[in-house]
Amino acid sequence: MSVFIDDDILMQVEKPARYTGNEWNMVKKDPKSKEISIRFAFCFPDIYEIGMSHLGMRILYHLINERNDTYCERVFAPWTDMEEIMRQKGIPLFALETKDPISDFDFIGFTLQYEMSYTNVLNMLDLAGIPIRSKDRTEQHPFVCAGGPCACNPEPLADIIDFFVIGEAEEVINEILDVYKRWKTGESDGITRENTGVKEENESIDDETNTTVKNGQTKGKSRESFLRMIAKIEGVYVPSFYEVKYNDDGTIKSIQPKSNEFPAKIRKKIIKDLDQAYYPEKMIVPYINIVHDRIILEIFRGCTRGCRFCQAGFIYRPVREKKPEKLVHLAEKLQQSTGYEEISLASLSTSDYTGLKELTEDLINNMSEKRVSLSLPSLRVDSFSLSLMEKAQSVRKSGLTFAPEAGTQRLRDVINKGVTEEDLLESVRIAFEGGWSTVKLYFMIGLPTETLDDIAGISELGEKVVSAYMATPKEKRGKGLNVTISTSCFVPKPFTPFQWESQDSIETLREKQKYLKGLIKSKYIRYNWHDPEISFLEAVFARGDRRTGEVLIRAWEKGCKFDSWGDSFDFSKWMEAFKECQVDPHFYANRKRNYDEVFPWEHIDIGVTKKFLQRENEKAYRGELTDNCRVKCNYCGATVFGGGVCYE
Amino acid sequence: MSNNSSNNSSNNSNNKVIVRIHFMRGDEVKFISHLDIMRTFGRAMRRTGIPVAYSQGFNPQPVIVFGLPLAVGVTSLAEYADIELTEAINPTALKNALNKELPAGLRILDAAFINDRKNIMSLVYMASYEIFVYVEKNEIINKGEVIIDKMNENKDEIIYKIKKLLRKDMITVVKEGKKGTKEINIKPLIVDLEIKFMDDLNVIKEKNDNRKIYKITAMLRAGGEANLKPDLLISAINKHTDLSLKIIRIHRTGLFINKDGVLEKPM
Repeated sequence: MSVFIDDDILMQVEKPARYTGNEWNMVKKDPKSKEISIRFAFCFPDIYEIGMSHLGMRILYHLINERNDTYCERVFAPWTDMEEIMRQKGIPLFALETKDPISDFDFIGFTLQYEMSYTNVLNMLDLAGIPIRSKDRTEQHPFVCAGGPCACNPEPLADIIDFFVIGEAEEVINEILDVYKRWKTGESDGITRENTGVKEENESIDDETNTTVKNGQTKGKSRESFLRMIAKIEGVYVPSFYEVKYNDDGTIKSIQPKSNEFPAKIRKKIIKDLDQAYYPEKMIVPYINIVHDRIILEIFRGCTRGCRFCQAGFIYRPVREKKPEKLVHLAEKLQQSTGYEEISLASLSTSDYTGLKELTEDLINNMSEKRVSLSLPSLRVDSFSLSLMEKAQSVRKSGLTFAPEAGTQRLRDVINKGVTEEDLLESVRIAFEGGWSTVKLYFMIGLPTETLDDIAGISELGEKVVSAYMATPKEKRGKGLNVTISTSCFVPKPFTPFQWESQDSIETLREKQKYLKGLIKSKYIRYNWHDPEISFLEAVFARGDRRTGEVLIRAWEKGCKFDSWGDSFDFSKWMEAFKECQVDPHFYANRKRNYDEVFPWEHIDIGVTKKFLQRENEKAYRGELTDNCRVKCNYCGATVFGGGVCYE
Repeated sequence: MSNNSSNNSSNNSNNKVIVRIHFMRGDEVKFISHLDIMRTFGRAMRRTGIPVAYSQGFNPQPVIVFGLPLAVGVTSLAEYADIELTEAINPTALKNALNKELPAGLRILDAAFINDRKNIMSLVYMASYEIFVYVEKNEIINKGEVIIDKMNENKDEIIYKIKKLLRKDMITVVKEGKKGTKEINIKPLIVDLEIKFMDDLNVIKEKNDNRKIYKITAMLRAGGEANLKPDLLISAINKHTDLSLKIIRIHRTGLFINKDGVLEKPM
């Protein structure tokens, strides 16, 4: 039975179309039909406008719905106004397509894009009426799974999520659903056998699991039997089958499977050949404006650059491109099926796409008569890209973004950002001569080895950009120079060369921000900075272990949710939660690790080796650069996947 | 599909090919804002491949001018828009093609070439609505005026109060505009108003409904010159009487244009 949302309710909330669905290209199926045996709720732990912009969700939604036996529906976090009414009236969390409560579904799948969405995961489960902790769920509940970049350190959510998909889900998800179907239909004979096996194992495995088994009777057992079946699929991680032991100093001693039937290391799954991989020819066209309200064309995965702070640069390796002709064909199809007026190329670094010239020429030729513009994010600014942008009609010479990341050459070398000051100033000069006059400069503060000289370098670079504008002939340059310097706070992430590093304390970060603010004198420069408190929490949960999961639950119980939305962020509640759970956040955020420390994510294998990351860490301290993969192989370990740039 | 193009010139010059469409907006899309409906039509037109004219500038948009914005939550049988094409396409073919590309709840009922000098937006003069409102039983009891089993008298009293209000020359209401709030007299904007007690109505989906429902049929001035939205009418009634009417639903039933002093349907 679907839930009934009264008009009255929708009239009271902001943007009611967040909850009404029925958008163009929404997949409609009859869940009561005999064909549909699996119902999948794809959950994005943030509001509609953010979730609908996410490419992974767009791909997986249509991919899962290609199956005749499965209906995949979308679920987003209701904004606080809607949540309040839902809780008041006892309306459970429902899926947009059918408005059915998701507690009756077979799977609840979350995508984890940023750590600060974790409380929303808990809140959505609770709103759906599903127990927060994995061990409290019985056969009547759906399986709760998660994937996405944050799943590369799944441990903070280990007690909450039943299983994780590590890496790219396009193939794994189908394997899981196939197994599920077998498990669900083979209940009469196959499962009995499984059950006996499980029961014996249970006694030796885990006391906690045993309790659940007793409570849920036979049901609890069969739930585990399914997890047991999928734990053998490459890329699937079932945290309850692994045991973590700790040292006296609080660091991890070991992470081991509870039975040798499970792999000691869980290797991420990748799609070897993106041209052969599924990509939807339809995309949902929302009624309301979303963040990325356009066709998204994924041109490649991974990045060859290896900036040492950047997690995406390592976890998506190896780089795999799609062929331009394939992309042009897809663009055509997507344009016809959506009617969108804009196409955006998606990748970690558009300029590094080897077929960029061919692709953009073809796209511009095909799309201009249809009045479809092309937007080119993450493009390095040079004369080629500027003329491209003018042709693509995607920018009103208003803003260009540069990301030098650090203020001095020394520090840029430490982080392996292969950009020199001269590169940057040359790009800026070309942009000013081309009529641009608004420039954004992105930096990080708190990077390893940073000194106040590096901070001063940020301000000096800003001044040099202003001088470059002044040196541009008046008749060429645009009016009204506007330089924005933005600094974020560095967050050390797993699977990067900086995974051993400590984060600057909140106080230090604040002092550095203040110092920089004092140095910026030019009236043309505006300075924006991020709150270090949020970055501090990100640092805790990015490298958190299972013990931090209790803190998440406690913080959520105290009312924390939508933490990435400034107005609902309450740092004091978080600090209370740490205190009450007797977890020291500084242990995770502000502690420098030894090279031989066992990480909470030690059992996750993303291909890139710990040895390589250590070499990169050592090189960082020597200020040595590492070449782009296309120039030379640096033996990071990603060759194990047998595809991509490693074999070109 | 832009206000701008209509503001720049409210004239449809003679050599332009304009197709006027009459469409309905059902429950499925009643929570979509006017701006979002405009964008939905623009994208649907792109999907049809019909050669629509585009606006100038950095962000070229199909030139579609809508008659009168519809508030969120309101359904309508009387929506109109002018679509400018770059070549003549049979209006029925356009209607069929567009209907294939429109989401459930938006449906073209009719399409025809027009050669009006002015576009639909600048011609709109009046709109008719059905407004369903309710009064809660206990609220009336609390006021001590009636008792529950005398509902007949009660409903008469409500109708009486509204009729009495409508006989006044001035019915002022505070309207929020772009330049702050101001007090306006809405009496001249109410062209006609009927109110009926509905004893058997299934607009309400819940059982054991504790509400008494009335249907107000109103003809109100509309358009750029003078405009009265139905929800403002209801709040005016609530302000000037001791009633507390609550809106259940609003449905637009007609839109009328002033063509050289003559009132008529847009097509």
